Amino acid sequence: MKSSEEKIFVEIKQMYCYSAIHKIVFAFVFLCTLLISLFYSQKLIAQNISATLKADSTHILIGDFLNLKLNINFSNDLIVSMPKVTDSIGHMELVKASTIDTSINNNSTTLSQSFIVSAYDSGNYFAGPQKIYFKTKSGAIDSLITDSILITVRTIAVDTSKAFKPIKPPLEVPYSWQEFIPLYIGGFILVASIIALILYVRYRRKNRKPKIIERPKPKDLPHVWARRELKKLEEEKLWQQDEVKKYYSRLTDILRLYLEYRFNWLALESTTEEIKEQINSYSMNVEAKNLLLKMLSNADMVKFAKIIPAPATNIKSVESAFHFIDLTEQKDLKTEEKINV
Amino acid sequence: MEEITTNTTVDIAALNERINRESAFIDLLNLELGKTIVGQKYMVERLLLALLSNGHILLEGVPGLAKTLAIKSLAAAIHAKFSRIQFTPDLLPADLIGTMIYSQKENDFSVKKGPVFANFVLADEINRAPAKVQSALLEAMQEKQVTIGDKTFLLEEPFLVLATQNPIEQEGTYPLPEAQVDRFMLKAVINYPKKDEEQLIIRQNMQLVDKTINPVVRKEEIMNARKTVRDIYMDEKIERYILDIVFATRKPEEYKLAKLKPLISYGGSPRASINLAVASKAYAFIKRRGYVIPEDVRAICYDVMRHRVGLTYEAEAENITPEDVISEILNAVEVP
Repeated sequence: MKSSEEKIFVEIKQMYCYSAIHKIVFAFVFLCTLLISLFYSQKLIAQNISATLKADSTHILIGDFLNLKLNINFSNDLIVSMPKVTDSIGHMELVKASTIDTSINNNSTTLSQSFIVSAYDSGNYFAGPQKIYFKTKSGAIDSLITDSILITVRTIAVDTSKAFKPIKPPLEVPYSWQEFIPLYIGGFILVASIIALILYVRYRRKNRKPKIIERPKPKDLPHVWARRELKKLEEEKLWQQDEVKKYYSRLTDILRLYLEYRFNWLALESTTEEIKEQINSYSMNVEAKNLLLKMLSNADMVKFAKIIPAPATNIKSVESAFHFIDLTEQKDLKTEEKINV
Repeated sequence: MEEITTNTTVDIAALNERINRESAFIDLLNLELGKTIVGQKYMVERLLLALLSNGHILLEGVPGLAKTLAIKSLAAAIHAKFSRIQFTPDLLPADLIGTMIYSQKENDFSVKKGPVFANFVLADEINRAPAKVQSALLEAMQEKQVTIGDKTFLLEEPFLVLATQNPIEQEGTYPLPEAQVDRFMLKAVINYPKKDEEQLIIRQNMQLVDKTINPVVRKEEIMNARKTVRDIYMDEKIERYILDIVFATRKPEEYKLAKLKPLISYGGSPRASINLAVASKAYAFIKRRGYVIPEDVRAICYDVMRHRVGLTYEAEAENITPEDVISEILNAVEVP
């Protein structure tokens, strides 16, 4: 048993010795490969990618804008990442950055981006350097750094021998009509709202005023209708049957309705006194006016004061009504219609 | 009326003659009132209407429109007892109707009658007193009797309450409840006088002329006139016209006035119909007519109805007044 245990121990020891040698060899080979690859890659970069940062001036006035342009030219087998510029390039503050412009030739690509930068204190500032990362065909990641540009920011020369002057007031920019568009629109809406409100209030008030009561109008012309109704009244022989009040009520109702149909006058809802007050607003001659008022006041006496007129008066009343209609009928009728009447 | 010549019924003619005879005092009254009151024909006419209709009147108007002066002058122009009560928040019913006073001499309670025991009672600013005082007066107005202790006293005829109220000062007032305001036959709204009338008022006030009102009418004349007013002929058509107006305030939709329905909370009571009829007769009397015509009804309709038509909140929000509602009704109801 003992010998077998010793045998196993020796085997394990030999196994450890072999693995240590293997590790050393592997490390040596790896280092050699890395050094060779680095040497070759540097050589490739130098040949396949270049980056420049150019400024249109090296001297600016304080607060002035300076244009910078970054150009990266590289072979198509490289993948280049443009540097991300957020608020400054070197010590210069970024005002505006253009979009990245890409131009591809046969074997190379050029990326370019323009920047507007500025500085708000006098002195010397560096614009850049900008670090550019790229990936080689083999997958290695490397970077490239552009040159930095020294920019001198000058202040305005002040003649201290002269007296100090106050700060100039802000310049007044002339107004343009476009600036007033919101005001025009607002004003228009305001005026329109006020007009709408006034119209609404008027409409409500108008609605509150007594409206003309709509009664169905006869199909015939007012005078045709009135004459027919008066004829009917005569045929009913009301006063002959001691229905004098009813007779005069019917007579005045016909006359009042005729006034409504002929003159659009709400006479059925008006008292005799009110008709007397309003009569001058309607176009009828003096004879017609007097005749109407006389008929209405006579009828009132019969209707409300127990007065019984003589038979001759009853006959004359309806004749007067016919005469009133003759005096006030519409004159612009066609001949045929008149004949039918 | 020229054409109507024969068969005139005797009673109307006799009535017209009677009215002409008995209404003569109206001219005398107007002359006397004219000494102190300039213009305000409407107010004076309404006071006469109340006097002739045996109804009470509530005058509403801003201060300075001679409401109190008109009532005082009317009372002074009639041989009658007049008393004035200035309604205040601390007024008690006993201050109005009277109370029982203990007499040490007789060792018993005796009745001390209040100012309500008069023919003409001027209740100035009636809405300034609390409800219990208003109720005491309004009870006297309706029953024409007053109970003090265990004794009931009838009020002497003519008994007329002429109340005033100011519509602009609402703070510290007790508005009359609808049921109580209904006891007033008329509610007249007094407006400012016309420009030339006001000029005359200025001139009159500058002059040092005696403006004492002399009594020109006796109580009996008023009582006789009241009887005549009741005898004035009112045709059935006029009665129907009155009913139509009052019913239109209750059921406007039946008179093609459906739009008024949401505006009216309650319409005129039967007391409105009675008062409209009596006041129309009184108006015909003033106009020296023995019969009532639709114009009479229209002339007094606003004064009889304006405090009897209750408006809804909707109407109040729309600034609609009872007068607007009455106008709509008068324009819609057919005249007989």
